[in-house]
Amino acid sequence: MLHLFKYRFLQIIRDYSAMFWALAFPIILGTLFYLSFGHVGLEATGDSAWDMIKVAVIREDTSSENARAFESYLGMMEEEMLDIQDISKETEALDALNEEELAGIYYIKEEPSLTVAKNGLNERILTSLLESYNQNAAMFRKIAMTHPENLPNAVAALEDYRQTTEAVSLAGKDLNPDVQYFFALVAYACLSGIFLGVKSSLDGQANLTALGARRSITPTHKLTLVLIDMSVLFVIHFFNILILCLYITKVLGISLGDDIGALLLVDFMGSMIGICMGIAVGCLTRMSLGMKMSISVLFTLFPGFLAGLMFGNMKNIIELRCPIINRINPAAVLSDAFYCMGIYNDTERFTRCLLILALMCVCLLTVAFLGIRRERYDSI
Amino acid sequence: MTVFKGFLLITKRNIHMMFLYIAIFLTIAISAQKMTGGNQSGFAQESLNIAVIDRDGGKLARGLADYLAQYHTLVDLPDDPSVIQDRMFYREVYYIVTIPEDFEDRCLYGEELLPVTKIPGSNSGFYVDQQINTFLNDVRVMAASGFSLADAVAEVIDNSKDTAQVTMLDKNGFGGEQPLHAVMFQFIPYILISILCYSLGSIMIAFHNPDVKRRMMCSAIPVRRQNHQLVLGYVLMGIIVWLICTLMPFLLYREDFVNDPNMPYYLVNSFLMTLVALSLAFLVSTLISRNELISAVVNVISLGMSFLCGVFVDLDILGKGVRTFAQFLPVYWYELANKLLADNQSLSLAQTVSLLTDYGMQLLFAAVILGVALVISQNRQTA
Repeated sequence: MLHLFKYRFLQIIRDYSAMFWALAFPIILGTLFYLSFGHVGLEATGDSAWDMIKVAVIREDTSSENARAFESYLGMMEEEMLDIQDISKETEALDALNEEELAGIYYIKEEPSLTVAKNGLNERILTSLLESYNQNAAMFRKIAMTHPENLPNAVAALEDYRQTTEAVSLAGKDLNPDVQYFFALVAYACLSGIFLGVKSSLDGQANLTALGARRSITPTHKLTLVLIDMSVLFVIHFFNILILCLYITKVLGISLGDDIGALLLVDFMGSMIGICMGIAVGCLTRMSLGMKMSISVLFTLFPGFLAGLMFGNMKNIIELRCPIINRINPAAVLSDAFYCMGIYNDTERFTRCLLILALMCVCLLTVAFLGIRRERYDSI
Repeated sequence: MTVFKGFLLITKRNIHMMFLYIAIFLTIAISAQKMTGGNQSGFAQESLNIAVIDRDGGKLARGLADYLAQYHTLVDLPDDPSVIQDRMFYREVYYIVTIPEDFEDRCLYGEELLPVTKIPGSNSGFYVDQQINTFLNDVRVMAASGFSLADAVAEVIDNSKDTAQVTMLDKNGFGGEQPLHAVMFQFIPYILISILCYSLGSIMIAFHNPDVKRRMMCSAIPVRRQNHQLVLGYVLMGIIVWLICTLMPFLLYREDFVNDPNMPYYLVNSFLMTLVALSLAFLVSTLISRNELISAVVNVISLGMSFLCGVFVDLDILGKGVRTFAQFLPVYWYELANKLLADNQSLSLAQTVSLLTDYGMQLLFAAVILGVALVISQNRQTA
């Protein structure tokens, strides 16, 4: 038993390029996720992470008080987020808006207005600037009418604009809004064990590889061989996933939850399901390696997609429209297990997720065993 | 043309695999489009299901609930963590504000922050934060200037009903919104790169068989011509895949897409992307000679590039640092051109120039990647 394990282990890890990619690709992807969500901004250089929004200001009628107040409000905003261009003619400004050199045009008049050309992030910001100006202006008119003596207090209170909310998870922890991408990534990495599984199952099939032929003539029971294969791959894959989790939490600094025991448990089940899927795909059918690989891509990328690997909101949308998919999709179940552990502190549902995964593993293994048992080869 | 014929023969033997890849990625594209309703940008202000758990019961607390009810649907939720967990898990509620006792003293006059719980990943939660900020700050200003709390709350709610005067120039003919076919074209690079790299990568495995390689090397056809014939085979595959992919917007959004004056530009743009994807596939296949490595390498290239270049999230949302870096990747230029086409129905001279620049950059990237791949493959064969 032990020597089977030992030599299988040595044989698999000596395939360096396969080992390297199995470990490296989720780590590289995680790093790219981390970069593209802007965790490494330009803060260190003192530059802001976003450009100032370019606008033009057209002075249509500056006689009223409100117009003058709006002008000075824009002047204040210029330091923070607006880049006011030196354009004063309306036609020029409209041309520039058409050329996308501007995001919007503010008109200074009795009732200030804004012209934009599309519905994007910058346009939203410009609109909300105008809205908050209007609301403040209305408020101050009211204050000036009823309590003019208190205007200085009001101004002081306004200048003390505060952040008033604080995001907490139900367990009372802060949470990173991009964390679901990393949950999906770890889930996807777990499922990617399928590639290891498919590869190694070839080594047990006499019609496909020489090693398979050698292993088929041993008197060792087929189930023993499958179990040895599985445990070796599992150990390797489990370590890869642990390294990935360590990298995400320690190097990238994204919390996957504080409960080490629970994290290990999820990683354990995740690695298991990946390997089991691989062994099942590998043992099941008489297909070419290329076809098996494309089926593996189907069984990893598609669940990953549904669990939010590409669009973070995907799992939420599915939960509302067709929740059953989230119960049977292994990537979604894994990602749910991470949620329950890290965000909701929910042991009941956490246990359920793990049980679903365990059930899937058992089913897959049964299928794999049925696929290769009693397989006999003619002597030719 | 023996090599070309051989390439086609192997492709024919692997046709199931190729169709499987096409099916996988087209399904991903279409279901992403259908399920998210084309709204990938995530900055649209939407009405959410939110819950206000009121442990205070005072005027301010009720005012906040009324204020939020203007924008969102309030869901009744008992103050019980297990029920809350349940509802959040099944996405029946997206955002929960827990108003503590002595709300006024603690959060309005004091410095304490109001605890809110959001479902991670919903950017829309950000708008609720902003709305709560506005409400509490405004009430504080009114209260500081001598209004009673009840009056202050009433005033702020009243004020919030005014809307700002915003004019939208309908520059793209779709009311300033991204047309749905533009959203689809936004993630076509991922589809093209994945399909072509996966399927051509696995087809090329056959050519890496040492015996096949030796046989090809001792033939009278020089390596350069062999490579040229392979490239021809690639281009043929690329055109087929491109045709299939561009069928999608035609089938899904026939009217809008056919009537869009930018239609030919979208098609040219995606064709250039196909060339980039082909040269990437050629590079991948010269570097990889084993089936089990393809998935890992292709994933890093396709997913990584898509994330950095604004395929899945809008370019606007990416930070400046990422955008600067993305300029060194071909997909960035594709997305720039796509955005330009989505935002403008008729292009001005300057915009036409920048569209051509985007096209040119893609072509250049395709040529450079292909050149690198050819050099590598020639060196390997002679070595």
